Amino acid sequence: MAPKKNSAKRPQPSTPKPSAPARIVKVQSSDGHILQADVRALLLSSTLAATIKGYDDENKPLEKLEVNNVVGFTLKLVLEWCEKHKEDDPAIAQAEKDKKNIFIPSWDRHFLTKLPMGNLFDLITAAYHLDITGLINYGCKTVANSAKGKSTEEMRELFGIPEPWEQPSTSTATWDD
Amino acid sequence: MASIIEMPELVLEKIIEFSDLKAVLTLRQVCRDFRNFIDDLKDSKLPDSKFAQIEIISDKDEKKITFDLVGPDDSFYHFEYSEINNSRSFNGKITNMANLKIVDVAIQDLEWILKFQKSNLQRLYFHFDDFQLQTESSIHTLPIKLSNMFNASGRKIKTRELSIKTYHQSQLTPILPIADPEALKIIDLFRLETEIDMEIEIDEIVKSEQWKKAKEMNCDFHVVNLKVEDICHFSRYRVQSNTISARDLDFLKKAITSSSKFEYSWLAVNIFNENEEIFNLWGPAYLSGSSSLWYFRIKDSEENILVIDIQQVYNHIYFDVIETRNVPNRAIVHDYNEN
Repeated sequence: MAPKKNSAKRPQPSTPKPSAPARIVKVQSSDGHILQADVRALLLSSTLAATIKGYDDENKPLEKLEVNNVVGFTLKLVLEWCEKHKEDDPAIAQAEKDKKNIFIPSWDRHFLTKLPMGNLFDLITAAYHLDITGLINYGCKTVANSAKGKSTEEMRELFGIPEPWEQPSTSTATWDD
Repeated sequence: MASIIEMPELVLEKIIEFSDLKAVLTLRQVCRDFRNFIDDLKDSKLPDSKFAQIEIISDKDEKKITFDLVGPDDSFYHFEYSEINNSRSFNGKITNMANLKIVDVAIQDLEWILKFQKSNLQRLYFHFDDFQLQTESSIHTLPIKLSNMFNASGRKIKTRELSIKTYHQSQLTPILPIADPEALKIIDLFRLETEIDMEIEIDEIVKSEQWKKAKEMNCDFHVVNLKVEDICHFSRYRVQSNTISARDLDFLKKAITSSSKFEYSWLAVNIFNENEEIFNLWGPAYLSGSSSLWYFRIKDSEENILVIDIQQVYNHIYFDVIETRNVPNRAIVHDYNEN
């Protein structure tokens, strides 16, 4: 009797839904590059999601989205990240929004750490403008990780900070003067 | 864009939140904009330094103050403030303090670094070897200035154990209230090795929330006018006093046998001359070596017995809880008595 009861409780394998055909739209960067993306991937960006909803609500055909504050090179990286995460459970990103300790999945770690620091900054800034929570978190965490154990000089170089242009003041006692 | 300083503020905040303390300290040094940005952040936006232990030491001979902070993964921070050189040394970097008093600089640094500490400390240790007033040195003002800083900010340190090693009670009283009474479990009041038979009064200390809520207290000063009512709530304690009366020992016995939380205690006295009274109260003792032992049942406990051991030679009095089966065969076990 017992095994029967157990098997009854086990979740039934869901019959695979026929996947809806991907809805592809064009996305144009600030420097005029035109890329293509699955709408489901674009929905990870709260700002783009709002624009798309605007079109849908008015039943206007959506052919091209313009992203005016991100250049083509960076936009391509953003879209690659979104494509990879388009099937993520939105609850995960929401739960990680204000967490102090987040774990970067291996695909993301690889994707983000291979970028030169300047490109990573651009990518995070783009994620910020487009309001993509997951990408902001993973990006910031990657930057924080890369700063670990670095000296002042190494950090200046890594983060593109010019030499201090001001003489330290002696009026306040803070430990780096 | 190639520079981090051009990133949106919210992004910078997040990067700092995800960083460790060492990286934030280094970031503060890379440029003034970054330093101002970090210093203007709310405490809640700063990463947790997760220190396990902080030691604060003042040394009158070398005229210096040192802070040692032990963080996670064996990270270690060492600050040294030298009055002779008027300098601060932090992890090897030496800075001249110009016309500033090193005590003030040290306290300001400590206040700043504590903004990062969100977890509870395991232990906070103070060592004040600086009581003698030396006109040219300001190091002896450290305890009182620390106390003032904490009073002004309303901040308390969450630590499981607070240890203060010194040779004057004027340096104990201001420090105890620094600890958050909700987190504090153990209070240690230690005398410096050089000071034997140093006396303190604890009349003020025992009124504090920290004293009342702690579970364990270790004191190797001689406490003047020790009142048993002030120590009977501890599960574990070690204390020294001039003498103790039979009536007070009986009070402790009653308090312990009616509580299930007691573990052990050690009481050392200079003189104990109420043997007759104690035999009148507790009856004949079980004798073993220089020990006179009495056994008492504890309220609602079958397994455990309170043993009181008076060692006449040293005037040491131990209270201990042992398992019933460890009571010697010939010993009398007194029943629990409500009155």
